[in-house]
Amino acid sequence: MKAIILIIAASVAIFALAFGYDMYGSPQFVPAPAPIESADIEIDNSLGVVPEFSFETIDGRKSSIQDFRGKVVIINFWATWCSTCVMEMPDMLELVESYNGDVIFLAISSDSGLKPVNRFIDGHDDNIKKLFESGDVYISLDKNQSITHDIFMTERYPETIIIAPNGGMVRKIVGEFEWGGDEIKSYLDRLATQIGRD
Amino acid sequence: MVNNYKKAVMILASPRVVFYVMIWLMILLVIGTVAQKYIGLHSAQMMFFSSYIIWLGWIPLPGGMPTMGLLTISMMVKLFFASRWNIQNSGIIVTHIGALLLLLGGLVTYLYAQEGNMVIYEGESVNFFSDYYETESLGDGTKRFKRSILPFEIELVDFEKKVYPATNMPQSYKSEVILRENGAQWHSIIQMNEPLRYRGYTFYQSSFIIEDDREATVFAVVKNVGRMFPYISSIIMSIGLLMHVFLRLPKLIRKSAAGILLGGFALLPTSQASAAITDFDVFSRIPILDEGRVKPLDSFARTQLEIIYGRDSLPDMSAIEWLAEVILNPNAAYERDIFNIANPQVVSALGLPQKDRRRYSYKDITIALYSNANTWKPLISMPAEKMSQPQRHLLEMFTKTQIFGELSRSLSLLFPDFKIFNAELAEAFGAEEGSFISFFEIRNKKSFINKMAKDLQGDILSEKDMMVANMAYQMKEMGQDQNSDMLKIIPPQWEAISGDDDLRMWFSPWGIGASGQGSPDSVKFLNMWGELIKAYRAGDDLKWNDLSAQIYEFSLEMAGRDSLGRVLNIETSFNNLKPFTISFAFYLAAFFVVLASFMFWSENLRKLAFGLVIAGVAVHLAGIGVRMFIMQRPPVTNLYESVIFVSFIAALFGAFMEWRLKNTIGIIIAVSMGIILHFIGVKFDAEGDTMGMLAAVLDTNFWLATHVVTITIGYGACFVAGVLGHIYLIKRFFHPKDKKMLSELFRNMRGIVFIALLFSVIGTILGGIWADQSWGRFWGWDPKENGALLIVLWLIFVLHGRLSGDIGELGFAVSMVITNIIVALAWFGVNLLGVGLHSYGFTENATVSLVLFCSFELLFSAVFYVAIRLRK
Repeated sequence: MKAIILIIAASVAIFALAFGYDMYGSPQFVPAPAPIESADIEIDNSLGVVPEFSFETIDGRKSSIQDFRGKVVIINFWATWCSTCVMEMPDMLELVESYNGDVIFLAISSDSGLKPVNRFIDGHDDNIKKLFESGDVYISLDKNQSITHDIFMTERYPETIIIAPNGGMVRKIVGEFEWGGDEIKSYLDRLATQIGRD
Repeated sequence: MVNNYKKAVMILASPRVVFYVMIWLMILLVIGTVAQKYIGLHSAQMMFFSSYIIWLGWIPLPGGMPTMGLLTISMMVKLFFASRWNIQNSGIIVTHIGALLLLLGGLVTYLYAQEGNMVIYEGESVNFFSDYYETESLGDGTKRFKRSILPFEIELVDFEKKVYPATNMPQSYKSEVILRENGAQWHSIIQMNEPLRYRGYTFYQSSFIIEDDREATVFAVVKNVGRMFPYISSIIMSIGLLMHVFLRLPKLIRKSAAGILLGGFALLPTSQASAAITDFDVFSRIPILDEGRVKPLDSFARTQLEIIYGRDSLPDMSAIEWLAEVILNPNAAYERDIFNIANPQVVSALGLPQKDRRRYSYKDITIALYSNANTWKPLISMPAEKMSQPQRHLLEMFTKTQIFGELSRSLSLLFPDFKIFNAELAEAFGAEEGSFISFFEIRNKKSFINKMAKDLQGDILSEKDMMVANMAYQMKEMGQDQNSDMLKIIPPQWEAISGDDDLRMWFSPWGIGASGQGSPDSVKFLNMWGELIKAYRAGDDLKWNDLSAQIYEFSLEMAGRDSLGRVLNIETSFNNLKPFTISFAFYLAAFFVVLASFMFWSENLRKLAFGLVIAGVAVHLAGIGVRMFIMQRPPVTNLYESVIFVSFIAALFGAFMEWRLKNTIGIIIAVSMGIILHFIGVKFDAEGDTMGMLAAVLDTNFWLATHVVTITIGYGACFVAGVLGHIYLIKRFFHPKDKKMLSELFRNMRGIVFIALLFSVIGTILGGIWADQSWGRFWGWDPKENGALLIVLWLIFVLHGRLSGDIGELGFAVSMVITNIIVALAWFGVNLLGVGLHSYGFTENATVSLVLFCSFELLFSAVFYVAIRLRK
């Protein structure tokens, strides 16, 4: 008999406690997420080192990707027939310009000849044209897509690969992207701090 | 007066009241469930379960409310006025208190619960919820669902939906909200299985709306004072039933609390494939993302072959050998007879020749489909329920050929199909004249070939011109393959390696470039596959072994998961070993040994059979364990797994009984359930054994896992009681004099019924708790829920019938046989209705088997009952 009363009492007690908690207990709230600090962006170094390749710019400079070791490189695969590529180019140029030599811009075109590329560059006003002529900007024609396809397997223009100063491929950006935005700026800032470290 | 009062109390408190109430409740339950198919869930619930009177023409019948009310009153009277309050009875008393609380909770919920839904668009705030059914009219004559105002408001900040990679299946939904009250505000997240509770209201993530430019979340809102009752009552009832089991049950169960301990089963290494032309061992372990999960190619091959051919191997080749042929050298695979056309009318509709076992090749069928397009094309837009059986088969055949066709073109970009036919091309492509190169190598030069093709002029084409034209045409054709997206063998490379591994999207050879995810590594990887194709076609064993090992290693490296290799190995070994087939073989062997033991060497053979059963159970357990490890989820999540698990539980019970009683009965139970359920499992494994992913709401969750496992153990225990019922009837007919053995059998039967009841009750309530956690309603009279409840009511009915004397020992045994029918109906039968949350889809074949099974059991119990009665 005693055992029974004990059990019933215990059951009622559990019930009352749980009931009370459920009705008046504090709800669980989570703090609002803090805005992402630019310094928190992770840079992934596990994607492998950029493979070796050489190229020639439209004004005849011969270079190899190896030559840019120690700097941040933006490789942009583009073509004049790709409207997104053409539209984002000025923003990219301005972005690169703001790093004063820490960031190299390599734009590899899949056009079938030099003519459309030159026409595209000439079509800009002088401010932008000046940026095309900057020492940090390399425009190259990859007529047979031997770099674009055979090395990087690019099929959706524009595709852009960012290379860290140590040669690691750290990020790929496909399609439309805000090159004038804050996110890419703080990302490149962080990459630029790695210059001279390796 | 006092006497009359006492009499009334005694009548109300007698188990006979429960006995009759149960009968009526079960009838209501069955009719109310079947009626859902015709009048919908809500109307059926209103008509049968929440009603006071049901009118059958002019005859008033008691509805669900008074029936349950009577049950409540009877239980209260019994509890307070007519119980013997002693230790012996304590288990039963506690159990009844739990049941009473459950019923009271139901009443409170019925009277006071408010529920409805709340739709909030992103960026908007809402402070009311709308009723599901009741409407209210507005001043201008329009109607809307009745609104209830909340004392606070909720703003939706963001809604997020995630799907499993490579599927459209939602994996989770999540709403970020801000709750505002009197100027104060809180930030919170509401997602599947994680509701927000505030001021007695609970908000559950129930659905979402996605329009062109905006998203809205849908919450189920519940305010229910009674929601704690089921939680408490389930705890109390479990305690009560456990107390009873330990205090009152026969020696069998009481004496030893420890279960059978099974030794760990080490995994054997993968069996080596025969080295006839090539060794597929390493190839079979190459990872692929399929149905939301990274698995070895071997599992993928089995799944595809199961879909197309209906089994996971061909008579003369394994699934992986078949897959290798399909993706590496499809022209050979197109000739292989792998499409079974079950329906002779489909054969004639397609004008196919009569062939052995109506098995045809891809080539046969595509030619036939092409020339008989008018027979199947209209079917594509036809609603499924309007189709005749042959039409459905025809459409199914069409779908299968589509899948097969797509699969066979998965690697076509790497096929060496383009011949370098002259020096000009050789120079342009940097390849030898006369050699063959692939689309992958040639596609850069598309413009070059097109230019050559454009130059073709004049009426007379030279041989070279023909070849150029052909090449251009071939390239164009090949371009159509780029939608072949099934073979997702390329791990992602452009996302952070850390993070949620299982949710990363993998890519197919055609898809990786098209989605802009190409990389130097993917070029290297695809070139390896290109070489592998050549090695396969040339039958070059050494190269094949070397390349498949390279591809395997490189896949793991790209996937960047250290443990992946081990998981793939285990899964491949699991596929090859087929533990459930091995355990079936053990049960079958035990069955024959038991048969032999009836004739000679009875004791030794009994021991041998027992050993075989133990071995079977051990392999069975190991198989379930490995499956759990591979899937990373609880053992029972679909019909196939439930069959495998129930047969395990039944076999375990049987083995345990045999260990205690040593009278062959346990072996018979284990063996019969092991064998019968294995056959049923085979019927479902096409749908269930491919280890697919779970829909969002079913994803691993504590309550779900415990609910399904508990209820499945309940099914298993019911079947054990059912088999005992059969044995009892047979023994009673043939050896009516052996009173001692019969009464022992009876006691065992009753013991098992308590265990079955324990697990069924707890399992059913846990299911309610899970539903409460996920959707905000404890009980919704869904067919599967009703099925589980039916089992519980049936067992309660039988026990109270025995207690009141309405059911004797013979009747009890007959009831046990009928328990099998009830369980089969609750388990599979509700799927026939095709309504509700638990409907998994069901084949007509299975319906026939189910009807046959139930008829057999009915006939069996009727024949033995009558025969035993007549003899008396």
